[in-house]
Amino acid sequence: MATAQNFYELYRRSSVGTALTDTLDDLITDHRIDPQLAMKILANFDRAIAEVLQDKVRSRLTFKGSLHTYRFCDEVWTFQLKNVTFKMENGGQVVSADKVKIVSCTAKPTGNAA
Amino acid sequence: MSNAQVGNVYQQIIVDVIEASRVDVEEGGVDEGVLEELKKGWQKKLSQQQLAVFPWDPKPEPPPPAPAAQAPASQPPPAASPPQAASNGGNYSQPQAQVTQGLTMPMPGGQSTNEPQVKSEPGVKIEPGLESAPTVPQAGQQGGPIAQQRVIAQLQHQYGERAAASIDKLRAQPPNGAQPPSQQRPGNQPAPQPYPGQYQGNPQQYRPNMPANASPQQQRPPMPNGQRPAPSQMDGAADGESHVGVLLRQGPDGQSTEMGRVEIDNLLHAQIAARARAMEGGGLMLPLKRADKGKGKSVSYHRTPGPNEGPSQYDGPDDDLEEFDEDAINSDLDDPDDNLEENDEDDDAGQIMLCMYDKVQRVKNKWKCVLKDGVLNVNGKDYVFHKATGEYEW
Repeated sequence: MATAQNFYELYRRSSVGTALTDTLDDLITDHRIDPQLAMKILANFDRAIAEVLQDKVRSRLTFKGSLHTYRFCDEVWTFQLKNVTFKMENGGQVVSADKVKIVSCTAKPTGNAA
Repeated sequence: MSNAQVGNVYQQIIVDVIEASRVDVEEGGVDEGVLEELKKGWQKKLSQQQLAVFPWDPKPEPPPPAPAAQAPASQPPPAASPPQAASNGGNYSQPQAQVTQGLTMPMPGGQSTNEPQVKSEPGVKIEPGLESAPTVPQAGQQGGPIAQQRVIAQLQHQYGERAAASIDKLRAQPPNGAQPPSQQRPGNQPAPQPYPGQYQGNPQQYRPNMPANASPQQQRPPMPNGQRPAPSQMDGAADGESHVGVLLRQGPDGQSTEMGRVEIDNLLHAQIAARARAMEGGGLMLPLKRADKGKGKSVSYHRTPGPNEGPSQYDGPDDDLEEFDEDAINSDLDDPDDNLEENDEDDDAGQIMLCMYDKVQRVKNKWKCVLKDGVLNVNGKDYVFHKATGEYEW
Protein backbone atom coordinates (compact mmCIF):
# COMPACT_ATOMS: atom_id res chain seq x y z
CA MET A 1 0.00 0.00 0.00
CA ALA A 2 2.01 2.88 -1.20
CA THR A 3 0.79 6.22 -0.01
CA ALA A 4 0.43 7.41 -3.56
CA GLN A 5 -2.05 4.68 -4.26
CA ASN A 6 -5.67 5.50 -4.64
CA PHE A 7 -8.06 3.77 -2.36
CA TYR A 8 -11.60 2.78 -2.85
CA GLU A 9 -14.23 5.13 -1.68
CA LEU A 10 -16.37 2.08 -1.29
CA TYR A 11 -16.18 2.05 2.48
CA ARG A 12 -17.63 5.50 2.79
CA ARG A 13 -20.98 3.80 2.55
CA SER A 14 -20.32 1.78 5.64
CA SER A 15 -21.70 2.86 8.96
CA VAL A 16 -18.38 4.18 10.12
CA GLY A 17 -17.99 6.03 6.85
CA THR A 18 -21.42 7.59 6.92
CA ALA A 19 -20.88 8.60 10.52
CA LEU A 20 -17.74 10.41 9.46
CA THR A 21 -19.45 11.99 6.48
CA ASP A 22 -22.29 13.22 8.60
CA THR A 23 -19.93 14.69 11.13
CA LEU A 24 -18.00 16.44 8.42
CA ASP A 25 -21.23 17.74 7.00
CA ASP A 26 -22.08 19.20 10.36
CA LEU A 27 -18.72 20.88 10.59
CA ILE A 28 -19.07 22.30 7.13
CA THR A 29 -22.51 23.56 7.91
CA ASP A 30 -21.13 25.31 10.97
CA HIS A 31 -18.35 26.77 8.85
CA ARG A 32 -15.75 25.11 11.01
CA ILE A 33 -14.05 23.54 8.03
CA ASP A 34 -14.31 23.98 4.32
CA PRO A 35 -15.38 21.22 1.96
CA GLN A 36 -11.91 20.79 0.55
CA LEU A 37 -10.58 19.82 3.92
CA ALA A 38 -13.47 17.45 4.36
CA MET A 39 -12.58 15.75 1.10
CA LYS A 40 -9.04 15.31 2.29
CA ILE A 41 -10.22 13.82 5.52
CA LEU A 42 -12.45 11.45 3.63
CA ALA A 43 -9.50 10.41 1.49
CA ASN A 44 -7.59 9.74 4.68
CA PHE A 45 -10.49 7.64 5.79
CA ASP A 46 -10.41 5.64 2.58
CA ARG A 47 -6.86 4.74 3.24
CA ALA A 48 -7.20 4.20 6.95
CA ILE A 49 -10.10 1.80 6.76
CA ALA A 50 -8.52 -0.18 3.96
CA GLU A 51 -5.31 -0.55 5.88
CA VAL A 52 -6.94 -1.38 9.14
CA LEU A 53 -9.20 -3.97 7.57
CA GLN A 54 -6.27 -5.50 5.85
CA ASP A 55 -3.83 -5.46 8.71
CA LYS A 56 -5.80 -5.71 11.91
CA VAL A 57 -8.69 -7.93 11.11
CA ARG A 58 -8.17 -11.65 11.15
CA SER A 59 -11.61 -13.07 11.45
CA ARG A 60 -13.19 -15.22 8.82
CA LEU A 61 -16.69 -15.85 7.83
CA THR A 62 -18.76 -18.02 5.55
CA PHE A 63 -22.20 -17.32 4.29
CA LYS A 64 -24.86 -19.04 2.25
CA GLY A 65 -27.99 -17.84 0.65
CA SER A 66 -29.90 -17.52 -2.55
CA LEU A 67 -28.72 -15.05 -5.09
CA HIS A 68 -31.43 -12.73 -6.23
CA THR A 69 -29.55 -10.46 -8.57
CA TYR A 70 -25.97 -10.13 -9.63
CA ARG A 71 -24.20 -7.46 -11.53
CA PHE A 72 -20.70 -6.93 -12.68
CA CYS A 73 -19.81 -3.52 -13.89
CA ASP A 74 -16.54 -1.64 -13.93
CA GLU A 75 -14.89 -4.38 -11.98
CA VAL A 76 -17.42 -4.10 -9.24
CA TRP A 77 -19.56 -7.01 -8.26
CA THR A 78 -22.94 -6.32 -6.80
CA PHE A 79 -24.96 -9.15 -5.35
CA GLN A 80 -28.36 -9.17 -3.83
CA LEU A 81 -28.79 -12.13 -1.58
CA LYS A 82 -31.89 -13.39 0.11
CA ASN A 83 -32.24 -15.57 3.15
CA VAL A 84 -28.61 -15.34 3.99
CA THR A 85 -26.93 -17.06 6.88
CA PHE A 86 -23.57 -15.84 8.09
CA LYS A 87 -21.37 -18.08 10.17
CA MET A 88 -18.43 -16.74 12.07
CA GLU A 89 -15.53 -19.01 12.09
CA ASN A 90 -14.31 -18.09 15.52
CA GLY A 91 -17.26 -17.66 17.77
CA GLY A 92 -19.56 -19.98 15.90
CA GLN A 93 -21.98 -17.10 15.92
CA VAL A 94 -24.75 -17.33 13.33
CA VAL A 95 -26.53 -14.34 11.90
CA SER A 96 -29.41 -14.51 9.48
CA ALA A 97 -30.85 -11.85 7.29
CA ASP A 98 -33.66 -11.71 4.80
CA LYS A 99 -31.77 -9.56 2.41
CA VAL A 100 -28.21 -8.46 2.08
CA LYS A 101 -26.52 -6.48 -0.58
CA ILE A 102 -22.89 -7.06 -1.33
CA VAL A 103 -20.78 -4.49 -3.07
CA SER A 104 -17.34 -5.74 -3.82
CA CYS A 105 -14.44 -4.18 -5.62
CA THR A 106 -11.63 -6.15 -7.02
CA ALA A 107 -8.79 -6.86 -4.70
CA LYS A 108 -6.34 -6.91 -7.52
CA PRO A 109 -3.95 -4.02 -7.39
CA THR A 110 -4.51 -3.01 -10.98
CA GLY A 111 -7.06 -0.47 -11.91
CA ASN A 112 -8.46 -0.13 -8.46
CA ALA A 113 -9.07 3.55 -8.54
CA ALA A 114 -12.77 3.53 -8.03
CA MET B 1 -15.72 -11.91 11.45
CA SER B 2 -16.87 -10.73 14.74
CA ASN B 3 -18.87 -8.03 16.27
CA ALA B 4 -16.62 -7.72 19.30
CA GLN B 5 -13.76 -6.71 17.12
CA VAL B 6 -15.65 -3.88 15.54
CA GLY B 7 -15.17 -1.45 18.37
CA ASN B 8 -11.42 -1.71 18.31
CA VAL B 9 -11.24 -1.67 14.56
CA TYR B 10 -13.32 1.46 14.31
CA GLN B 11 -11.35 3.06 17.08
CA GLN B 12 -8.20 2.35 15.15
CA ILE B 13 -9.70 3.82 12.03
CA ILE B 14 -10.75 6.95 13.83
CA VAL B 15 -7.35 7.46 15.36
CA ASP B 16 -5.67 6.91 12.03
CA VAL B 17 -7.93 9.33 10.25
CA ILE B 18 -7.50 11.98 12.89
CA GLU B 19 -3.76 11.64 12.87
CA ALA B 20 -3.55 11.60 9.11
CA SER B 21 -5.76 14.64 8.87
CA ARG B 22 -3.75 16.71 11.29
CA VAL B 23 -1.44 17.84 8.55
CA ASP B 24 -4.28 18.68 6.27
CA VAL B 25 -5.96 20.65 8.99
CA GLU B 26 -2.84 22.64 9.66
CA GLU B 27 -2.31 23.28 5.99
CA GLY B 28 -5.85 24.48 5.76
CA GLY B 29 -5.17 26.96 8.51
CA VAL B 30 -7.91 25.52 10.66
CA ASP B 31 -7.80 25.27 14.39
CA GLU B 32 -6.82 21.80 15.50
CA GLY B 33 -9.68 21.77 17.91
CA VAL B 34 -11.78 20.86 14.95
CA LEU B 35 -10.14 17.48 14.90
CA GLU B 36 -11.19 16.77 18.44
CA GLU B 37 -14.65 17.90 17.56
CA LEU B 38 -14.66 15.67 14.54
CA LYS B 39 -13.57 12.74 16.62
CA LYS B 40 -16.23 13.34 19.22
CA GLY B 41 -18.97 13.79 16.70
CA TRP B 42 -17.88 10.74 14.77
CA GLN B 43 -17.80 8.56 17.82
CA LYS B 44 -21.10 9.91 19.00
CA LYS B 45 -22.77 9.13 15.73
CA LEU B 46 -21.42 5.62 15.82
CA SER B 47 -22.52 5.11 19.38
CA GLN B 48 -25.99 6.29 18.54
CA GLN B 49 -26.36 3.54 16.02
CA GLN B 50 -25.42 0.94 18.62
CA LEU B 51 -23.59 -1.01 16.00
CA ALA B 52 -21.30 -2.57 18.51
CA VAL B 53 -19.63 -1.94 21.82
CA PHE B 54 -17.15 0.82 21.35
CA PRO B 55 -14.13 1.43 23.54
CA TRP B 56 -15.01 5.08 23.92
CA ASP B 57 -18.40 4.30 25.28
CA PRO B 58 -18.83 4.14 29.02
CA LYS B 59 -19.49 0.58 29.98
CA PRO B 60 -23.04 1.07 31.09
CA GLU B 61 -24.57 2.90 28.23
CA PRO B 62 -26.45 5.80 29.76
CA PRO B 63 -29.99 5.66 28.58
CA PRO B 64 -30.97 8.67 26.59
CA PRO B 65 -32.60 11.20 28.85
CA ALA B 66 -36.28 10.60 28.74
CA PRO B 67 -38.03 13.66 27.43
CA ALA B 68 -39.69 15.40 30.30
CA ALA B 69 -43.31 14.57 30.25
CA GLN B 70 -45.06 17.64 29.08
CA ALA B 71 -47.72 18.75 31.40
CA PRO B 72 -50.79 18.54 29.31
CA ALA B 73 -51.89 21.98 28.36
CA SER B 74 -54.91 22.72 30.40
CA GLN B 75 -57.71 22.22 28.00
CA PRO B 76 -60.41 23.75 30.06
CA PRO B 77 -63.71 22.06 29.75
CA PRO B 78 -66.88 24.16 29.78
CA ALA B 79 -66.35 25.82 33.13
CA ALA B 80 -62.85 26.87 32.31
CA SER B 81 -62.84 30.59 32.72
CA PRO B 82 -60.80 30.68 35.92
CA PRO B 83 -57.99 28.45 34.59
CA GLN B 84 -57.83 30.55 31.50
CA ALA B 85 -57.50 33.66 33.51
CA ALA B 86 -54.79 32.01 35.50
CA SER B 87 -52.95 30.90 32.43
CA ASN B 88 -53.08 34.41 31.16
CA GLY B 89 -51.72 35.75 34.38
CA GLY B 90 -48.27 36.48 33.08
CA ASN B 91 -49.54 38.31 30.10
CA TYR B 92 -50.00 41.99 30.46
CA SER B 93 -52.74 42.11 27.93
CA GLN B 94 -54.93 39.81 29.88
CA PRO B 95 -57.38 42.45 30.99
CA GLN B 96 -57.76 43.69 27.49
CA ALA B 97 -58.38 40.32 26.15
CA GLN B 98 -60.95 39.76 28.72
CA VAL B 99 -62.57 43.03 28.05
CA THR B 100 -62.95 42.03 24.50
CA GLN B 101 -64.14 38.72 25.58
CA GLY B 102 -66.73 40.29 27.74
CA LEU B 103 -67.84 42.38 24.86
CA THR B 104 -67.76 39.72 22.29
CA MET B 105 -69.39 37.02 24.19
CA PRO B 106 -72.71 38.69 24.52
CA MET B 107 -72.73 39.28 20.84
CA PRO B 108 -73.52 35.91 19.42
CA GLY B 109 -76.44 35.30 21.64
CA GLY B 110 -77.26 38.83 22.49
CA GLN B 111 -77.54 40.49 19.19
CA SER B 112 -81.19 40.65 19.58
CA THR B 113 -80.55 43.03 22.40
CA ASN B 114 -78.52 45.26 20.20
CA GLU B 115 -80.82 45.45 17.33
CA PRO B 116 -83.72 46.73 19.27
CA GLN B 117 -81.64 49.68 20.16
CA VAL B 118 -81.12 50.49 16.58
CA LYS B 119 -84.73 50.49 15.80
CA SER B 120 -86.21 51.82 18.93
CA GLU B 121 -84.10 54.56 20.34
CA PRO B 122 -84.90 57.77 18.68
CA GLY B 123 -81.62 59.37 19.56
CA VAL B 124 -79.73 56.69 17.75
CA LYS B 125 -82.23 56.41 15.05
CA ILE B 126 -79.96 58.30 12.73
CA GLU B 127 -78.98 55.19 10.99
CA PRO B 128 -78.01 56.70 7.68
CA GLY B 129 -75.66 59.11 9.33
CA LEU B 130 -74.35 56.51 11.64
CA GLU B 131 -73.78 54.05 8.94
CA SER B 132 -71.17 56.25 7.47
CA ALA B 133 -69.89 57.50 10.76
CA PRO B 134 -69.11 54.21 12.41
CA THR B 135 -67.03 53.10 9.55
CA VAL B 136 -64.66 55.94 10.05
CA PRO B 137 -64.00 55.28 13.69
CA GLN B 138 -63.55 51.71 12.81
CA ALA B 139 -60.87 52.59 10.39
CA GLY B 140 -59.38 54.80 13.00
CA GLN B 141 -59.38 51.95 15.42
CA GLN B 142 -57.30 49.87 13.14
CA GLY B 143 -54.50 52.33 13.28
CA GLY B 144 -54.88 52.60 17.00
CA PRO B 145 -52.54 51.36 19.66
CA ILE B 146 -50.61 48.23 19.05
CA ALA B 147 -52.23 46.77 22.08
CA GLN B 148 -55.33 46.54 20.03
CA GLN B 149 -53.73 44.29 17.54
CA ARG B 150 -52.32 42.27 20.31
CA VAL B 151 -55.71 41.84 21.74
CA ILE B 152 -56.91 40.56 18.45
CA ALA B 153 -53.99 38.25 18.16
CA GLN B 154 -54.48 36.97 21.60
CA LEU B 155 -58.11 36.43 21.01
CA GLN B 156 -57.30 34.32 18.07
CA HIS B 157 -54.68 32.58 20.09
CA GLN B 158 -57.09 31.64 22.78
CA TYR B 159 -59.89 31.24 20.42
CA GLY B 160 -60.36 27.55 20.82
CA GLU B 161 -60.52 27.55 24.58
CA ARG B 162 -62.77 30.49 24.79
CA ALA B 163 -64.99 29.11 22.19
CA ALA B 164 -65.35 25.95 24.15
CA ALA B 165 -66.33 27.83 27.24
CA SER B 166 -68.69 30.21 25.59
CA ILE B 167 -70.22 27.63 23.38
CA ASP B 168 -71.12 25.53 26.28
CA LYS B 169 -72.59 28.45 28.07
CA LEU B 170 -74.52 29.52 25.09
CA ARG B 171 -75.63 26.08 24.31
CA ALA B 172 -78.08 26.27 27.10
CA GLN B 173 -79.72 29.17 25.39
CA PRO B 174 -82.19 29.05 22.56
CA PRO B 175 -80.37 29.35 19.29
CA ASN B 176 -81.94 32.62 18.32
CA GLY B 177 -80.86 34.42 21.38
CA ALA B 178 -84.32 35.48 22.30
CA GLN B 179 -83.77 34.67 25.91
CA PRO B 180 -83.54 37.49 28.38
CA PRO B 181 -80.16 39.13 28.45
CA SER B 182 -79.92 38.63 32.16
CA GLN B 183 -79.09 35.05 31.42
CA GLN B 184 -76.12 35.98 29.37
CA ARG B 185 -74.59 38.28 31.83
CA PRO B 186 -74.22 35.88 34.67
CA GLY B 187 -72.76 33.41 32.29
CA ASN B 188 -70.23 35.81 30.96
CA GLN B 189 -69.25 37.67 33.98
CA PRO B 190 -66.98 35.15 35.60
CA ALA B 191 -64.55 35.50 32.78
CA PRO B 192 -64.11 39.26 32.75
CA GLN B 193 -63.91 39.48 36.51
CA PRO B 194 -60.43 40.94 36.83
CA TYR B 195 -60.80 43.88 34.56
CA PRO B 196 -61.82 47.29 35.79
CA GLY B 197 -65.48 47.80 36.26
CA GLN B 198 -65.68 50.39 33.60
CA TYR B 199 -66.54 48.20 30.72
CA GLN B 200 -68.46 45.84 32.79
CA GLY B 201 -70.65 48.58 34.04
CA ASN B 202 -71.50 50.21 30.81
CA PRO B 203 -72.99 47.33 29.01
CA GLN B 204 -75.12 46.68 31.98
CA GLN B 205 -76.52 50.12 31.84
CA TYR B 206 -78.19 49.22 28.67
CA ARG B 207 -79.80 46.15 29.93
CA PRO B 208 -82.94 47.97 30.87
CA ASN B 209 -83.41 49.08 27.33
CA MET B 210 -83.03 45.78 25.82
CA PRO B 211 -85.72 43.69 27.35
CA ALA B 212 -88.29 46.19 26.30
CA ASN B 213 -87.43 45.85 22.66
CA ALA B 214 -85.83 42.54 22.82
CA SER B 215 -87.86 40.11 20.85
CA PRO B 216 -89.49 41.94 17.98
CA GLN B 217 -86.40 42.41 15.94
CA GLN B 218 -85.65 38.87 15.01
CA GLN B 219 -85.21 39.45 11.36
CA ARG B 220 -82.56 36.84 11.35
CA PRO B 221 -83.07 33.58 9.57
CA PRO B 222 -83.06 30.26 11.30
CA MET B 223 -79.33 29.79 11.12
CA PRO B 224 -77.87 33.10 12.06
CA ASN B 225 -75.46 31.37 14.32
CA GLY B 226 -73.01 30.26 11.75
CA GLN B 227 -71.79 33.53 10.38
CA ARG B 228 -72.04 35.89 13.18
CA PRO B 229 -68.96 35.36 15.23
CA ALA B 230 -66.55 36.87 12.80
CA PRO B 231 -67.92 40.38 12.65
CA SER B 232 -68.92 40.47 16.25
CA GLN B 233 -65.57 39.31 17.35
CA MET B 234 -63.77 41.90 15.32
CA ASP B 235 -65.88 44.59 16.76
CA GLY B 236 -65.35 43.31 20.20
CA ALA B 237 -61.63 43.43 19.94
CA ALA B 238 -61.65 46.90 18.55
CA ASP B 239 -64.11 48.27 21.03
CA GLY B 240 -61.89 47.80 23.98
CA GLU B 241 -59.47 50.42 22.78
CA SER B 242 -61.40 52.58 20.43
CA HIS B 243 -63.61 54.62 22.62
CA VAL B 244 -61.90 57.89 22.02
CA GLY B 245 -62.43 57.80 18.31
CA VAL B 246 -66.04 56.92 18.72
CA LEU B 247 -66.51 59.66 21.18
CA LEU B 248 -65.48 62.27 18.68
CA ARG B 249 -67.94 60.99 16.21
CA GLN B 250 -70.62 60.89 18.69
CA GLY B 251 -70.47 64.56 19.44
CA PRO B 252 -72.70 65.69 16.59
CA ASP B 253 -75.37 63.29 17.72
CA GLY B 254 -75.81 65.18 20.90
CA GLN B 255 -75.49 62.13 23.03
CA SER B 256 -73.67 62.10 26.31
CA THR B 257 -70.18 60.84 25.76
CA GLU B 258 -69.98 57.81 27.98
CA MET B 259 -73.28 56.54 26.90
CA GLY B 260 -72.54 57.33 23.34
CA ARG B 261 -69.52 55.14 23.09
CA VAL B 262 -71.12 52.04 24.20
CA GLU B 263 -74.18 52.70 22.23
CA ILE B 264 -72.23 53.24 19.11
CA ASP B 265 -70.42 50.10 19.77
CA ASN B 266 -73.63 48.29 20.09
CA LEU B 267 -74.90 49.91 16.98
CA LEU B 268 -71.83 48.84 15.15
CA HIS B 269 -72.27 45.34 16.32
CA ALA B 270 -75.83 45.29 15.29
CA GLN B 271 -75.24 46.81 11.92
CA ILE B 272 -72.37 44.63 11.04
CA ALA B 273 -74.20 41.61 12.22
CA ALA B 274 -77.17 42.65 10.16
CA ARG B 275 -74.99 43.09 7.11
CA ALA B 276 -73.38 39.79 7.64
CA ARG B 277 -76.77 38.28 7.81
CA ALA B 278 -77.86 40.09 4.72
CA MET B 279 -74.82 38.89 2.84
CA GLU B 280 -75.45 35.51 4.16
CA GLY B 281 -78.69 35.65 2.32
CA GLY B 282 -80.69 34.16 5.09
CA GLY B 283 -78.48 31.15 5.24
CA LEU B 284 -78.40 30.57 1.54
CA MET B 285 -74.67 30.51 1.56
CA LEU B 286 -74.49 27.91 4.25
CA PRO B 287 -74.30 24.29 3.36
CA LEU B 288 -77.50 22.67 4.41
CA LYS B 289 -75.81 20.24 6.66
CA ARG B 290 -73.86 22.88 8.41
CA ALA B 291 -76.84 25.09 8.86
CA ASP B 292 -78.67 22.28 10.54
CA LYS B 293 -75.78 21.49 12.72
CA GLY B 294 -75.21 25.03 13.76
CA LYS B 295 -78.80 25.32 14.70
CA GLY B 296 -78.96 22.22 16.75
CA LYS B 297 -75.61 22.36 18.30
CA SER B 298 -73.83 25.48 19.23
CA VAL B 299 -74.28 29.14 18.93
CA SER B 300 -71.25 30.93 17.80
CA TYR B 301 -67.73 29.79 17.61
CA HIS B 302 -68.53 26.59 15.92
CA ARG B 303 -67.36 28.07 12.75
CA THR B 304 -64.32 25.92 12.84
CA PRO B 305 -66.10 22.64 13.21
CA GLY B 306 -68.43 23.76 10.53
CA PRO B 307 -65.88 24.04 7.77
CA ASN B 308 -64.35 20.81 8.89
CA GLU B 309 -67.56 19.10 8.43
CA GLY B 310 -68.00 20.77 5.12
CA PRO B 311 -64.83 19.40 3.58
CA SER B 312 -65.64 15.95 4.77
CA GLN B 313 -68.81 16.28 2.90
CA TYR B 314 -66.99 17.34 -0.19
CA ASP B 315 -64.41 14.68 0.14
CA GLY B 316 -66.52 12.52 -2.01
CA PRO B 317 -65.84 14.47 -5.19
CA ASP B 318 -62.15 14.61 -4.38
CA ASP B 319 -61.97 10.92 -3.93
CA ASP B 320 -63.70 10.49 -7.18
CA LEU B 321 -61.10 12.62 -8.78
CA GLU B 322 -58.31 10.52 -7.39
CA GLU B 323 -59.97 7.40 -8.50
CA PHE B 324 -60.32 8.94 -11.86
CA ASP B 325 -56.60 9.51 -11.95
CA GLU B 326 -55.93 5.99 -10.97
CA ASP B 327 -58.06 4.78 -13.79
CA ALA B 328 -56.16 6.88 -16.23
CA ILE B 329 -53.83 4.98 -18.47
CA ASN B 330 -50.33 5.19 -17.18
CA SER B 331 -47.25 4.54 -19.14
CA ASP B 332 -45.85 1.06 -18.96
CA LEU B 333 -42.55 2.67 -18.14
CA ASP B 334 -44.01 3.52 -14.77
CA ASP B 335 -44.41 -0.09 -13.83
CA PRO B 336 -44.62 0.05 -10.05
CA ASP B 337 -42.82 -3.26 -9.76
CA ASP B 338 -39.73 -1.81 -11.33
CA ASN B 339 -39.73 1.05 -8.94
CA LEU B 340 -40.14 -1.32 -6.08
CA GLU B 341 -37.05 -3.20 -7.07
CA GLU B 342 -35.03 -0.07 -7.36
CA ASN B 343 -36.24 1.24 -4.07
CA ASP B 344 -35.44 -2.02 -2.42
CA GLU B 345 -31.91 -1.77 -3.53
CA ASP B 346 -31.57 1.71 -2.23
CA ASP B 347 -33.43 1.16 0.98
CA ASP B 348 -31.36 -1.80 1.90
CA ALA B 349 -28.39 0.37 2.59
CA GLY B 350 -28.54 -0.92 6.11
CA GLN B 351 -28.09 -4.54 5.12
CA ILE B 352 -24.90 -4.26 3.21
CA MET B 353 -21.53 -5.83 2.88
CA LEU B 354 -18.70 -3.78 1.50
CA CYS B 355 -15.61 -5.68 0.65
CA MET B 356 -13.04 -6.69 -1.95
CA TYR B 357 -13.32 -9.82 -3.97
CA ASP B 358 -10.54 -12.19 -4.72
CA LYS B 359 -12.52 -14.61 -6.77
CA VAL B 360 -16.01 -14.94 -8.12
CA GLN B 361 -16.92 -18.19 -9.80
CA ARG B 362 -20.08 -19.55 -11.23
CA VAL B 363 -21.06 -23.01 -12.35
CA LYS B 364 -24.54 -23.01 -13.80
CA ASN B 365 -26.59 -21.39 -11.12
CA LYS B 366 -24.17 -21.99 -8.29
CA TRP B 367 -21.95 -19.17 -7.26
CA LYS B 368 -18.87 -19.18 -5.14
CA CYS B 369 -16.90 -16.18 -4.17
CA VAL B 370 -14.02 -15.35 -1.99
CA LEU B 371 -14.14 -11.95 -0.41
CA LYS B 372 -11.85 -10.11 1.89
CA ASP B 373 -11.42 -7.01 3.96
CA GLY B 374 -15.06 -6.38 4.43
CA VAL B 375 -17.41 -4.60 6.69
CA LEU B 376 -20.86 -5.99 7.04
CA ASN B 377 -23.92 -4.37 8.51
CA VAL B 378 -26.70 -6.80 9.29
CA ASN B 379 -29.65 -6.39 11.59
CA GLY B 380 -28.30 -3.19 13.02
CA LYS B 381 -24.92 -4.64 13.95
CA ASP B 382 -21.59 -4.23 12.30
CA TYR B 383 -19.12 -6.98 11.58
CA VAL B 384 -15.70 -6.94 10.07
CA PHE B 385 -13.92 -9.79 8.41
CA HIS B 386 -10.64 -10.47 6.85
CA LYS B 387 -11.83 -13.21 4.62
CA ALA B 388 -15.21 -14.51 3.66
CA THR B 389 -16.42 -17.26 1.40
CA GLY B 390 -19.89 -17.29 0.12
CA GLU B 391 -21.90 -19.90 -1.71
CA TYR B 392 -25.27 -19.19 -3.13
CA GLU B 393 -27.64 -20.29 -5.84
CA TRP B 394 -29.28 -18.04 -8.29
